[in-house]
Amino acid sequence: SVQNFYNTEADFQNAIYGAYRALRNVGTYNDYVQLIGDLASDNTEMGSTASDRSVLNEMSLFRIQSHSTVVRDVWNHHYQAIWYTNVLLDRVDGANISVQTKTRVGAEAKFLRGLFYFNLVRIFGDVPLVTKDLTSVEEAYSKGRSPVAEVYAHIIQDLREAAQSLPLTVPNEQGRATSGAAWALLGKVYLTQGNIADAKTALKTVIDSRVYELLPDYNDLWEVTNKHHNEAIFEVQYQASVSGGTGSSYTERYTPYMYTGLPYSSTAGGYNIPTEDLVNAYEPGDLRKDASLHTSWVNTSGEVVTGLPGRFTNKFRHMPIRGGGSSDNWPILRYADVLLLYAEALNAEAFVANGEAFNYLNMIRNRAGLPSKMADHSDPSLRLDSQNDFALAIEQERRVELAFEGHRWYDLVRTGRAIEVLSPKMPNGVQQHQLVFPLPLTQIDLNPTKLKQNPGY
Amino acid sequence: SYSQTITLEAKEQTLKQVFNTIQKQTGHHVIYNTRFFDDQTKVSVSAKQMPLDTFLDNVLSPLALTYDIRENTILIGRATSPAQPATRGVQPVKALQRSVNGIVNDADANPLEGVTVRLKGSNTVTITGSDGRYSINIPGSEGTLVFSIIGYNTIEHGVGNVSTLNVMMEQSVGGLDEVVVVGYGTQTKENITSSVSTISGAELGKTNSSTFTEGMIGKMPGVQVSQITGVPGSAPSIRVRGTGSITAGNEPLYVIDGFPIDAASLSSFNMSDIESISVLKDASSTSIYGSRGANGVIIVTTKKGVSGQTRIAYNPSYGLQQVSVKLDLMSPEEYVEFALDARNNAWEYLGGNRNDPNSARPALYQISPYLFTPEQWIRTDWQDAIFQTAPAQEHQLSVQGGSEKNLFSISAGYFGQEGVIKSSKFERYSVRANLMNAVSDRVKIETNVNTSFVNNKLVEDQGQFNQGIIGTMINSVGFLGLQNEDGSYPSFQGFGYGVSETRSPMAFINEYDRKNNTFRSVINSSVNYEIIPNLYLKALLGFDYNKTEQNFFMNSFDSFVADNPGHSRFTNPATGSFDYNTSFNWLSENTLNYTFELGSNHKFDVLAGFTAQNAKYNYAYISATNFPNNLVPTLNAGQVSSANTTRAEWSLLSYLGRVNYSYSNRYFATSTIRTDGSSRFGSGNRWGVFPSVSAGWMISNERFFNVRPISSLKLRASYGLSGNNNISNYGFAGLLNYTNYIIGNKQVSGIAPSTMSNSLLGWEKSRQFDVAIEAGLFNNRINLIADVYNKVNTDLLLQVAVPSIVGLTSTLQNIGKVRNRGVELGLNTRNLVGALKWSTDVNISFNRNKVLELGPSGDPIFSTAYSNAGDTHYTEIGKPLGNFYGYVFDGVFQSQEQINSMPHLPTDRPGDPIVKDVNGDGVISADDRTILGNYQPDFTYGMTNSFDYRNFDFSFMVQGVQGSEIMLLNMYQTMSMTGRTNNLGIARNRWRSPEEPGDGKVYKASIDVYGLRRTSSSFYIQDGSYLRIRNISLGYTLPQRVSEHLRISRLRLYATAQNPFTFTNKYLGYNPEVSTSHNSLTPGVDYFNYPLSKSWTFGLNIHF
Repeated sequence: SVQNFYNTEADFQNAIYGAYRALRNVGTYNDYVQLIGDLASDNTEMGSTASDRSVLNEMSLFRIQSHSTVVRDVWNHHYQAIWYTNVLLDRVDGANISVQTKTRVGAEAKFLRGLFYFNLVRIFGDVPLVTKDLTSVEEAYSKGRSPVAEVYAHIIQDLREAAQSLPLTVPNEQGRATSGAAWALLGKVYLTQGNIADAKTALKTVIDSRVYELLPDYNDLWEVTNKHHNEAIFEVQYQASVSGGTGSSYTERYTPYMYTGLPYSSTAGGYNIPTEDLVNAYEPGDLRKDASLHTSWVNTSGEVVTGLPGRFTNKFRHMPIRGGGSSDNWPILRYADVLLLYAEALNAEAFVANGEAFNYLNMIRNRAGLPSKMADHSDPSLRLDSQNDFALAIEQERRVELAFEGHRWYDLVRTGRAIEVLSPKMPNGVQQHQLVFPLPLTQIDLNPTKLKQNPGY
Repeated sequence: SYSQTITLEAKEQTLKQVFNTIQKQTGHHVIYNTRFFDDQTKVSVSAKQMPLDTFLDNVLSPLALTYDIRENTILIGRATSPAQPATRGVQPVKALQRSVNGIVNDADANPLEGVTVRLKGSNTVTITGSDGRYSINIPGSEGTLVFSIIGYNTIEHGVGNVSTLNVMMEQSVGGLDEVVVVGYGTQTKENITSSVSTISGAELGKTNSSTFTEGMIGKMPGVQVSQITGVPGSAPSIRVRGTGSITAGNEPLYVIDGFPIDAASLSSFNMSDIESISVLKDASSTSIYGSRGANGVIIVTTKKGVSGQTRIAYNPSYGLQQVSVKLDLMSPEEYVEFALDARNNAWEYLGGNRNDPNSARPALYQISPYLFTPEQWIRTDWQDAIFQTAPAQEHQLSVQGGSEKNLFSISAGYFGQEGVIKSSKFERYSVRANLMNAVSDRVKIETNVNTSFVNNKLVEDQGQFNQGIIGTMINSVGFLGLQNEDGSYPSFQGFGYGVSETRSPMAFINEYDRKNNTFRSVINSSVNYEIIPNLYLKALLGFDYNKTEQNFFMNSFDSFVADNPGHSRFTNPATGSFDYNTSFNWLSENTLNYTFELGSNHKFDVLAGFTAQNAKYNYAYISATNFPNNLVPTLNAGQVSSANTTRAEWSLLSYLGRVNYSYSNRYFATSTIRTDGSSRFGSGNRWGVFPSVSAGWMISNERFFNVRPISSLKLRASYGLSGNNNISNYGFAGLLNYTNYIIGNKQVSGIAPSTMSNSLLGWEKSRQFDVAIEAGLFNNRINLIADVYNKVNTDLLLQVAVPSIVGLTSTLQNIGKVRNRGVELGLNTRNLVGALKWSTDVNISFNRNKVLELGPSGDPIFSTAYSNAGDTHYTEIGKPLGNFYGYVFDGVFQSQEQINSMPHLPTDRPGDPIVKDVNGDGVISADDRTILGNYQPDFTYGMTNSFDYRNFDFSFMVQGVQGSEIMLLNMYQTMSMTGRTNNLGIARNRWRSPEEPGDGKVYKASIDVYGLRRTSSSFYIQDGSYLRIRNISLGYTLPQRVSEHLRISRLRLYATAQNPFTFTNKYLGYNPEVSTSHNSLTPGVDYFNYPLSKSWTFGLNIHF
């Protein structure tokens, strides 16, 4: 039981692995965090509204309601994960174990807690801030929502401590957090807050660590035989296994609805289908397009399926084994993301024609087989001569570079462009209040005095 | 051993004291009724080794009393004329004029020995012999014979001119001298001061029921027995006096021949072995079971051996069952119209035109050409396809007999039943032996052995579309065939992009194989040692071993539509699993029982003891996938995908005591106490004490009481405490979960907390007060029992939803308080007692359930029976448990003007449901959810009428529930109006256009779900009231001369109809009795259950 566990080095080792495992729940990174990132944007749409897909359809069309199972699971699974880290952190300081283990395990727990709170605050806005194991239910009832700023302050504190204590690399233990992961996440947090100076420092720390580099071939990012490549900073680990329960089931959802390319019958697909709009967003010659998506497939009767039923993502494509899942890791942080964030930060500070920010943007473009954009380019489509143009170029580049990796919605909200970009593309538009999701109704029902719904829901 | 003579020097002793002396010296029980004479009358007597009859003559004749001696019983009554001397029974006192003789049998045609046959109004008396025969001499041609024996209804029969008069005597129900089985002992009905309902084996036999549920349903006030599913062999749900607990379970404790077992094992029980069933209802009777008594206790006693001639009986029966109702579903044509409507409406909603061709529509809104080609359709009535007329047969063989020193009762039975859903099946083989061996006058050894083997073939019944056969069948459109020629199944998948995957209902029948085998053996043995007269030590040791094995294999099979090329073929891979469960439960019980008297009027019966019980469980589960083919279903042929084993254990140590006291058969009192220590509770709260007291007053035994029509009248009251410990074995501990993660490409084990710890977790307590009146009128022709009770359960063990910021969505706590109070009435009348006999049993129960406290803050509890539908239930202080909760659908919007004129959702268009603005704030929001009804009925009732005429017996039983609501959650799928699947027939009444508004209740079809159509609402609420004819039985017993000719002692033929008719208020599902969820927070949900069947059975009772 909880009372007599948490004694030895091995106990704490197991406990931190248990906390990493929480990354793999439906409400975390098995489904919803990334589905929100793409479905609640112009990147993807629902390929079918059959059965439980209807709640995601609701979300993708900005009709989400507070009884949605999406918000319920995101909330519950994140707080469950935070509980795991809190239980560990409450006990690690007093534990009779080596200082190294104490420091590292503690730092990992803080990194994870920071990540989970970052998701919560981006999705819901103000959220209750729970930083220790609540041993009584009464305590839970007494907690209301903490302001976004307070939550961010705690996230930053956690991530700073993690960044300073975590190892630079984790040879043979890939999947555990590194200082690079903490700095990268911290940079994104600062940037989201509009703290450009600190964002720059944090992201630059990652770049200067020289641990990471862009892979020459974009295709290599998605090969399961090529895991733990130099561009990966932090990933949710999956491994196909018939019995271990460690495989990813999310990949199955990324197939088209009723896809017969699988080695067995499945209608599990159709959750996250590239939109026409995204297909058209790739510049001609972009090598990333074919690496990222398909627009047709051939069914068992030899017919070519096109259109909505024909489109699907190619990034997480390894065939799941029924009941076990595939080996596709889920990338939470990747070096290309860091470079683009850094370029965004530099540009936000000041537009410098053909300055450092251009270098990072063009590193990404060149790898995709696209020409550099310059402040003074003769081709107007490649010319960036203002801060705003550069910001839009970053937005475009992030869209196609990081497509289906669960970034688009969060990016558009961060840059304040969500309504402007998405509203014209949605049948009912997007309203201001929809920039945060509704709190789950079940939780408000439980504690209506302390937990108030976001306005508009 | 006893003598047949009396030695007594008594001066001014009461008659009662004299009778006690007789009893002690001769072993004869003296039986009399104080209404006929005063047993406090003082007599003086001097006798030395005086023969018993002489002694009785001497004592009784001066008092004008008569006596009968039969076997070891002396019956004492008042002589009609004081002048008449007391007479020994067999001697005629009047002149011999003519003789009448005959045989007295019981209802099973067994001869009754020791029946007193008296010529009415005289002292002419005789007693039947061991063959049931009697002969009596009577004067003249007139006269009436009175046949009486303890435990049977007295019969009066005019003699007329006949010289042979055979009679059948029925066991008396409600007779005051009837022995009632209670916890750890027996009491007579007269003495009992607590609320106990009983059914005898004879009564159960009348309905010819083969299951426990059918036998008990509707028979006892305050005991609600529900047949919640039609799965062959399934256990009933039984609620004694309402629902007290919220999560710790509300099923009563079962005690079979002294062994407490769990309800699931009832299916292993052979009904015809039952001698009696007692249901302990109030705290006075249940608190002797301490921490397990709060939900009532059901004590089942099996048939014991009887001395005398060996009795052999054989009871075969054969029956047929059919599904009790057929649902109204849409025809293929209606479906097509509906599906087009759903796609067009949704496309129109997005700005399209309903006449757009497929090429102009996104795939979701396209329409399959198959819908327009009826010539390709294969028409199927899916209900006919999956249901069958299913046979059932039963064979019971029993032997009873023995001598005084060795009694035995042995039975063997087979019961085989096919389910009304094809491929489901239940078979039971059982053997029972009850042996009694009197080692000496003071030591008796009893042994009960019950062994059964149950073979169950299960079909995946529950669950929605694709999960279970019922949900899939209802949703399947009738234009697909049963199976394609190549063995694959037509699948609905082929009909367009927005259509749900479906597995053919037939696949569940043909390709799934789930077999469950249970072996169970309950054995207990006890030694009863009489240490000194009337002081008995009983030591019982028993064990219960149960082994359950479940083998599952699903063949690999293909789904596709043969006539719809262009659509894909899917292969469902083979999977298999194996479950293995064993449990071993031992019980040791040691009790001392002493009966004694203080003075002449104070009788005591004292019980003290301690018991220990321990149960261990082992569970193993293995599943496998990737089978290369369907040929080898054993798991080694596939790839093991999951395997785990679990162990658990609980133990209980208890001390118990009881004192029964009676004063001169007029005042009675009982007090009990039990102390339980259980491993299931937190270290801070491991021991519980459960006391009770009760008292009764037999008013009709008072000398002053002389109200002619009232033959007996008793008042009683009880108060006590019992507990409920039905929680998981380790609920108090903060548990950890074991899980896998990948680090460095290697699997590592992770540990995470999974429950919150609670060292104070303890019993749920039930305090109950009960007052009752019991009356017998007109010589007990009418018997009435009325109970009023108030039961308050506190410290409820509650799996409480908590703010999930603690890391969990719920935790187990002791909070809350629920009250049940109610009235129970039971009435038994013998309307006709002549050649045509007619008796009626009626019972009705009213229970009101109310939550008094909840949690520390008193916040209401939201709960859900199906999380995708949101919160479906709501429990708050001041209301009953588990109210249905959701939005009120108040019709359908007919026009845009109407929408604009009232609060609405932004997505609303004409044809959408009107959601009631319950709080009147002008907007539709979550605050408009409200209570929509409750599953708990206003009242429940049952009535049995039994008729006997010559050799015919007939009975019928009616049972019902009034004022109950049900959430038909099937409708979440079957009335979702998306047109992806077939729907219930009421979808015809949908809104189509302002010109065709339907019935104003069913909203329009749309393949996209928006608004609140699929959240919990009044749309799913149905009236659950019903009246059901449970049982109609007709029997015919062959005349004795015919059966004698056949060399058998008795032969009865019978025919029975079970559940032939059910009347409901347009209930849309299969069975309004249903409750998918047994949780008291989410009761009354019908979610694709196995439907109930009606059956017709023909059988024989043969006694050799």
